[in-house]
Amino acid sequence: MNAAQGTVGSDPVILATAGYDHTVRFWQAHSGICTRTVQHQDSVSSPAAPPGPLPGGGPLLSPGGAQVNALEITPDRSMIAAAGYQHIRMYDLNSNNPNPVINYDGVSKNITSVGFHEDGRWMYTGGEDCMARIWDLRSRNLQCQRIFQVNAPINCVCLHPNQAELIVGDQSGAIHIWDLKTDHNEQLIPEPEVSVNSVHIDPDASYMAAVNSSGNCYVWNLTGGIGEEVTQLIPKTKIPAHNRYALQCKFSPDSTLLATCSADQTCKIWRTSNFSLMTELSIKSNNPGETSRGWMWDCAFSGDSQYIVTASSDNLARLWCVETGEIKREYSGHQKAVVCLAFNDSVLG
Amino acid sequence: MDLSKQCNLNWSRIKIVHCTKLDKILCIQNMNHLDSVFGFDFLFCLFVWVSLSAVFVVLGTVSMEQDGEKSHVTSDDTGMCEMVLIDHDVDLEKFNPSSTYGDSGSETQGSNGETQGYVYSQSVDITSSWDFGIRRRSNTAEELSSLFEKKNFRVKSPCSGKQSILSVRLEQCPLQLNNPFNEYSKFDGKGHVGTTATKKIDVYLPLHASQDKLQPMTVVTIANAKVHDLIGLICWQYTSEGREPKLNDNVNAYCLHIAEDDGEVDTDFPPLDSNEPIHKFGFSTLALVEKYSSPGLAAKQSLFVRINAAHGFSLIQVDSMKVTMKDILQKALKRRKGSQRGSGPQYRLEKQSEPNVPVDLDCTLESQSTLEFCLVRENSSRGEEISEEDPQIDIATVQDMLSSHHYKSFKVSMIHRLRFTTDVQLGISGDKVEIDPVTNQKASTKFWIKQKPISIDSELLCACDLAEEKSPSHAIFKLTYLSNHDYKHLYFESDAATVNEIVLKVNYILESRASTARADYFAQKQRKLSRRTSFSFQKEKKSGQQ
Repeated sequence: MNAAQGTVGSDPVILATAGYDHTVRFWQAHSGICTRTVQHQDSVSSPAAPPGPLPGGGPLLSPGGAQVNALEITPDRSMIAAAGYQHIRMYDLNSNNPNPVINYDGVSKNITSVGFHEDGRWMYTGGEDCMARIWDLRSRNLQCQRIFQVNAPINCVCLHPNQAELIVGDQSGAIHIWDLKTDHNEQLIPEPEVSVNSVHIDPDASYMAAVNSSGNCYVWNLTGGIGEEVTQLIPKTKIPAHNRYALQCKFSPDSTLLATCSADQTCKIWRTSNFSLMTELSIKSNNPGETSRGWMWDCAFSGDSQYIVTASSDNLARLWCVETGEIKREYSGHQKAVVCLAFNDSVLG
Repeated sequence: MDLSKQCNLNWSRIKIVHCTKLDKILCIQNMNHLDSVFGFDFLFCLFVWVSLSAVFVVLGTVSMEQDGEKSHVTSDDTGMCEMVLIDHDVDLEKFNPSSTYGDSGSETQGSNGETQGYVYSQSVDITSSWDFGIRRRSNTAEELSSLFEKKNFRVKSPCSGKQSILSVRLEQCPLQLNNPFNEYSKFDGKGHVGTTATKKIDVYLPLHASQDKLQPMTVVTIANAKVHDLIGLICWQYTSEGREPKLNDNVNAYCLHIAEDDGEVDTDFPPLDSNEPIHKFGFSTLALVEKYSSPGLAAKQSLFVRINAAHGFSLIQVDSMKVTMKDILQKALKRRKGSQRGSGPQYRLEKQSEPNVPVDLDCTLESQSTLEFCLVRENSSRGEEISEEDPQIDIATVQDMLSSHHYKSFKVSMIHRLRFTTDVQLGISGDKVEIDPVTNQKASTKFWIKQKPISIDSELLCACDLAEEKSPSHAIFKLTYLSNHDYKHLYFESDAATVNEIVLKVNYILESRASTARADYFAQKQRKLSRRTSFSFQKEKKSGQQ
């Protein structure tokens, strides 16, 4: 992809954060400098906003809140998707165009989760309207092509490494596995009535992890999933990871670690060999009188699994060393809580 | 549902609900027929579509069935999405495409070779754009199958524990510039280009000996920042860029002045008001200046040792606390007129608080923990009548004291901000200190300070200290006084002798008056000093910035 000099897309390391202050910020991860800020809300009053319709056609509507719930970079690093209330906006990473180049509208309520097929052919989303959708990225069609409906608002969607099965977690506590080819679907409910907040499968497709509002982290072994085989889930373990809501879980790129983020101000890193705790990354204050500094909302590992970036509601994102738990960098600039991030790090060699 | 009716209504292909597969096929066929009949009468189509879609939006249902032989097209209330449940049993060989069908050939022909009947997933296509031709969906079932084919995820390049680019960069750049001004980074407008109003400013930085040529630093701020925020942003960027020398951690130590394009600071104007928004000012060239950039040396408190003697006291100036008591005694004796070494009566020093205990002359002043002593003749004690042998001693002391209260005027230079000086006449007496401008200034266009005469009552004087003694011809002292509940500092310069004389004189007055203003001032200084030593430099991050 031909990236313009000095644009976010021209850097092999891309870090983006977003949250409640209506901006998406891009950072130079190793120095902590903010290199680009994109206003997520269409600000009509700003004198710098270019007039006229946006590319892609149609007026841009963003009434009622422009918070960003989820961020995801396309696999070819050409765009970033920001999912919010009733829309998904794609911003160009290879230019400094402040406006979204594609705007998917016409969905109701918050989109809570977004992701891509590894070849960039289609995008998947999940939202509060109880639907998971597939969107064709190759056409300019702004409607989704497929829907999978469940009975409760969807919090998280995750794509199996086989690129053909979608895992959906909803607020009723159910986890659905949707076979995209056959439309076959299965449910499992690790803890009834407790909202599932995040699901993730490791790159080797050996494990699936899910965290819920009880603070528990459930892990299954995965088998099958190739060719005609349907993926089988065998319960492996339950980790009582946090004593407050668990908000996010992520496996490291080398599959040796699992990170869980929580409202208890910590992100815990577990070894997948035995699911013991390796490191606790905490933003708790040393002052016993001080109330919570903020929730840990999201996290992402670096390409070699040595570092992890976290987003928290104290307006900061931080880079930590996974092994020592030391804070290496702070990314400061957001004026409100940072609830999601996207990290694309390249590996050498 | 009556098929013909459905077809009439559905010419715009909004919805088919719960048809059997056959019905569906027929519908499609009929609709195409309709299409060719009506041609492309745009406005008519538009009108009908709008009215019908209104009807169907109201009637919208969503359904999903996974079993059975039905194929369903469903749509939600917005009419923007649809889903087709693929029914593998559709056998399109039964379907006879008519000639009006258009370019269907290429898409149906592939069905014959497939092991299972592929689904003609190309259902009615709802678009929000004004497109009324039949739009063949590009996803045929064949393509759908390939779109959602399971990939063999086990075949992938091994993750061989190589480093990521981030790790490499972190190694090369080990320190996050722990920037004390991070909270101001949010005013950086560089990332906001095109979205928010920003202002580009060239800032000249404090000039230092190593720089012979001034080069401004370009800063882009968001326009609604205040001057105070801009100063913070400038400090942040300066520190981020690793410039030397390091700035004072405190943003309040700096102010912004308007500057010429070549970097010369325009002293005709006072510094920009911290609270004003930056967009109020049209200036694009500014200079960052330290406030009160006169002397810069924290004026050390002049050290005076008070030597009490019969009927009065003397002030002996010392350089440091490390001076020996022997030196002090010698200085005290020297002050006395007519004293000769080795001759005359011997004297000893006692701490004022410890009568009859002679001070060990080899000890330092520091070890005494006091600055007040008493000069006592050997073999006598304080307050004894002075013998007639040395009648002049006390007179000297008294004279010192009295003369300090006499009015004397000095011609000195008063130092303003930016080292700009004015000539003044300093009149000092026991009652007050007066500062009057000398009117015969050299014609100077930069004379922007209308120096008003200042009169300070002695009761309000707090301190007078030597600030700098560069050479016999150049010394600076600082005068501190209380004005409206604030401590104000004035700096003056002159030759060393004059400066020392003034400092001594004022200190005599201060000592003898022992005013409350002075006592309060020292108490406050002491508090500040003790606070500073316990101050922790680990800044806590604030949550909820403004």
